Amino acid sequence: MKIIAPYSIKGGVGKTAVAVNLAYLAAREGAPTLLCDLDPQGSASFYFRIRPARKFNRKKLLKGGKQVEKNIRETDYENLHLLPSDLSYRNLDIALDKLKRSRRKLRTILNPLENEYDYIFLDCPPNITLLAENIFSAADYLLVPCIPTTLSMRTYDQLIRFFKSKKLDRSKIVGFFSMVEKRKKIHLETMEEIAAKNGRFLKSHIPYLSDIEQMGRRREPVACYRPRSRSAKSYEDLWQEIKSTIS
Amino acid sequence: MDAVILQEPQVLFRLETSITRYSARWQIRFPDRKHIFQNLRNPINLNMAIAYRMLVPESRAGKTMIGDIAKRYPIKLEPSIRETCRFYDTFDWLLYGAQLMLFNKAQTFHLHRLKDEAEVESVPWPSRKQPRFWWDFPESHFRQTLKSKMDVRALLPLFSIETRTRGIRILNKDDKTVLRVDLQEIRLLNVQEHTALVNTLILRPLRGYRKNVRKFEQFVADLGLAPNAGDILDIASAVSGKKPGDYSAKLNVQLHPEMPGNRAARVIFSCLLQIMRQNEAGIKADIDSEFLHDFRVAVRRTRSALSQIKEVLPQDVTRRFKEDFQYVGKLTNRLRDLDVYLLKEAYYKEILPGRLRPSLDPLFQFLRKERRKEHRKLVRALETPVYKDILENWESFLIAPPKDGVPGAKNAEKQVNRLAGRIIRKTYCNVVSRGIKITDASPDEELHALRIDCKKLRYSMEFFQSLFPQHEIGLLIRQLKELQNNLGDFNDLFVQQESLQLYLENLVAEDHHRGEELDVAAAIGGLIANLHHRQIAVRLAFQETFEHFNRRENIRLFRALFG
Repeated sequence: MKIIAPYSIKGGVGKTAVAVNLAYLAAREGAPTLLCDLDPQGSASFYFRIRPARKFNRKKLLKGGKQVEKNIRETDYENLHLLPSDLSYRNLDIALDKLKRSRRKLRTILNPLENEYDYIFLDCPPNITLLAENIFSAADYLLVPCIPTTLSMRTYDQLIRFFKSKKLDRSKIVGFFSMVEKRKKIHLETMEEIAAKNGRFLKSHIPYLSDIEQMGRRREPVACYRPRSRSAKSYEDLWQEIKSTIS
Repeated sequence: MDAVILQEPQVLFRLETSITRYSARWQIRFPDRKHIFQNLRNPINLNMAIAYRMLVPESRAGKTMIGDIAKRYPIKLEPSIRETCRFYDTFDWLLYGAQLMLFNKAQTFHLHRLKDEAEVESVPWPSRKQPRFWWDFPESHFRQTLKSKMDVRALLPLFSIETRTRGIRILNKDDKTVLRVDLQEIRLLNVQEHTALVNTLILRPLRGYRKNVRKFEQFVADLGLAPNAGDILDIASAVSGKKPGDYSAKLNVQLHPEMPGNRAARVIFSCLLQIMRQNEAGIKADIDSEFLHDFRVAVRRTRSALSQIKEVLPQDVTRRFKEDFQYVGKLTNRLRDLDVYLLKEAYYKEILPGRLRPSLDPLFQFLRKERRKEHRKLVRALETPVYKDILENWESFLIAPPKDGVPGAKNAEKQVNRLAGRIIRKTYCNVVSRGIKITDASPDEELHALRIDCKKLRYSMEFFQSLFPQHEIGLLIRQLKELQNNLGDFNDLFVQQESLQLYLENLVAEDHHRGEELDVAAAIGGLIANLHHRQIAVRLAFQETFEHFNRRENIRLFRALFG
């Protein structure tokens, strides 16, 4: 089982889109896959048209075991399951803080699912709190989408510095460019700079395309409604490159 | 050349199968298939709802059914798919027994669980040729699974069906699929007379949407659909008139304790005769080696029962059929010996260094040629009136009502449970008294004699198994089996060395093409040394195995069961 967490301190960089599309592609190849929606906004759950059970909340998530297994939902796609989010997740940090070994809690919750899934994707809320630290320790790989602009790159550096200061395993961090607009000079320049100095950035990137924004209306992964589009292709390339990096 | 003569090849064969079974057990633990095997072990996982079929009445078949569903639920229809499947199993239903079904569909072989028809594995099969054995499949995990389940048995086609499947997705108000249902028509192919179409509805629940399944079930039950139609193998078998699991080489007789001895003996003999009859066709058609094996075991059990269940049948009958079945057994000896050697080909090559392996080819070429000859001979023998008369006379004797007051049959009217206890007790005492005398210094003949006694005990326990508590007698049979395995292995290894030695001597006697022979001799020598080594190890394990068999709990259990 590999746990992959698209993560960014900054919001609106295409985290959920990448989680949804990559999870779909992994499942399409036949690997049993689980997408955990940890974001209280529940966008990933929304994309798959899944509402959480009325009784499911933060408490049940933290209990783990049967409470989690009971709430996993099968999506419309074979091999792809989803653990829906709940609004109560907004206080997940506070709840985690009260627990013992609060930084490792998420890993303990996910461990029993090891036999069932080949991949678990974590759709994370954008911030750098105790939940984020849980994600850092639970995930085998942090997939960091960056818009090739100064501010976005700064948050990437912040993340690296945070890992350094907490003595976390920095090799988990895998960056890639998201929402790339080739006609913008700043995007191209930033990408060139990074390519020159940083090896941990993936070669594939996700362009800024309206196909991807359509996802909110279509409520399906891009490859379902635009199978031959450039956006679908870019996610496929990204997934292939990730697979070869992590194996 | 008569070099390769074996005395008890069925035991030899057991050694081989126990080796393959063990290796298969290890190979099954591939980490990447973990989730599938976990589900196999524990299919009723609370969260994994299982697919199952309902039977659709003819009045609601096809479009009517879809219309009915659409009136009640938002649905999304998928294109209809037409497929043909050809089902396979071994003669003794090994896959069915392992809760599996095997079929060929669209140039792929699929192995599915019976319970929910979920796929366990599949392998592409682009050729038009029919696979017969597990080794006909390409190297894969699929092949390993088949190996562990069907061993040396051949696959036989059961029937072909055509299915037409229409997928229907049941949606909720968010247009999320909450249940998949397949409307499937099943039609039997290649049959002369017209067979009815079976309409089924397969419910394929989604994890986390159990409530929707229950509601839908209620809805279709109200429409008149019958629940639990069984799996596709059940349905197709019922239509084709086949009965899964209807053959087993196991002696499955149900005796009543108060039955008179001559009746009980007739039940046992009839069952054994039936096994012989069932295997005849497979032997003649040379489908796999196990038809002959099962046939021989039935013959040997018949002979054993004739001499062990004493004085229940008229004396002249017993004497005559003892001779007759000895003759039948003899007809098959040589062919079985050759079968056993050929089954060991891969194993023999494996224990030799790679360079010497090709040097065994002349031996196996010779054995194959001999086997062809021997098979033709046996088929001819099975067609002769001599053989046919034996079985027919035996059958008419068994079905004729027993006569009273036959001389020499003083046990005929005695209750079978008393006879059984006495027979088992006697053979058991023989085994124990012989076994405890054996030390590391005892001659090999003593072990040979003990092996024969054990066999008698095993057969007698199996004849009367139904008269004793199932769990306890099963336990004792298993314990005895362990001892028999040790003794059997010891004997096989001895016999193999002997016959290889003979082959070697014959090789030296003929003096053409000298160069190759040196390698052949080296290979045979290597084999003999290896087998000798193993034989010593098996002999060393004997004491411990026997003590394990003869431990206090077992003695107590034997006493409790058989007096």
